[in-house]
Amino acid sequence: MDKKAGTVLKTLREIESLFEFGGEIAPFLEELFTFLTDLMPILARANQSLTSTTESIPTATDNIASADMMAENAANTIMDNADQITTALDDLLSKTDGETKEALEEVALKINEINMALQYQDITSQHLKMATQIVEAIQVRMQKLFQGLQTIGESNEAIRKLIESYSEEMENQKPTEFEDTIRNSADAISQDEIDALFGK
Amino acid sequence: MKAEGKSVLFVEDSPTMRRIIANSLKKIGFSEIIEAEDGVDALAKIDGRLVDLVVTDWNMPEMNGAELVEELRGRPEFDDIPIVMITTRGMKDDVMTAMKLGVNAYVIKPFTPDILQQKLDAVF
Repeated sequence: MDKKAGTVLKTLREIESLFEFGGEIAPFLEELFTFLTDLMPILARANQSLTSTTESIPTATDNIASADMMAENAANTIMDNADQITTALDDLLSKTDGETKEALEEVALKINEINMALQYQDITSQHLKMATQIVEAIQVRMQKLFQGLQTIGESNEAIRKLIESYSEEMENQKPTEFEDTIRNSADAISQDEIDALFGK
Repeated sequence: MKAEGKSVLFVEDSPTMRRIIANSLKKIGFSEIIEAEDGVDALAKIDGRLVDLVVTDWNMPEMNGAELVEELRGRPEFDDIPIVMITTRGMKDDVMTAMKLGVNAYVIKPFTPDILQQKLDAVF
């Protein structure tokens, strides 16, 4: 009997200790829950923002590549014209002398300087390519982060519902200036397409 | 430096830059300019023949300038051929790497015709 009473007392002490531990941990759990509740809207917003931004990156990099190509074509046009001027100048130089020749030689030097200045087209192009590579690397990481957020949502019904409700709320909000910029650049159309819309 | 009667292998992937440098090399007076888009193209273009000078960019697809220099320096016939690197890579480490690989002169883009002439005079 004494032995049984001892066991009961021991068990009661254990239960008491458990309650004491529960009492100590309760404020922490409450704080953790508050933190998670505060965090959810941020995660939901990040989730949505990441999706739209990540989807826009290929368009942005394509636009950069397109601008780069246009700059290269423009540089080639300038060089074509400079070459024609140089040929004409060489012809004139062979037929003239004195002050006129000196003046023409000065013009030839200036034409050469224009050609050399076009090196910046290639240098800018290389910088753009490096920036594009960085953006593409960020895109890959953002996609992984985005997938991670989805996994969190899928693993917990309450979190999933919370994310969905905030996502719906976000959809009803006006887009930010940044999102507008991305959307506008993605939706840009050519002059030919504009003319076609006007029926010209 | 006497470029007349001499040949140069010139490797550059950017069409704009290729045109600018090729014009400069013509003005300097090289009789033959073999143009290539990258290291692989360069090796195919020379196809065992010798040139008097190699001018190469660094950042290129397929085989870059550093890899090309390493490949050429590994060939006994290219032991004494001057190699000039023209590149946007201006870090000290890059220059040191190029030197170790066997580059004789290093020109940073953008360059002026005078700079190119000076570097060629120094190695050629």
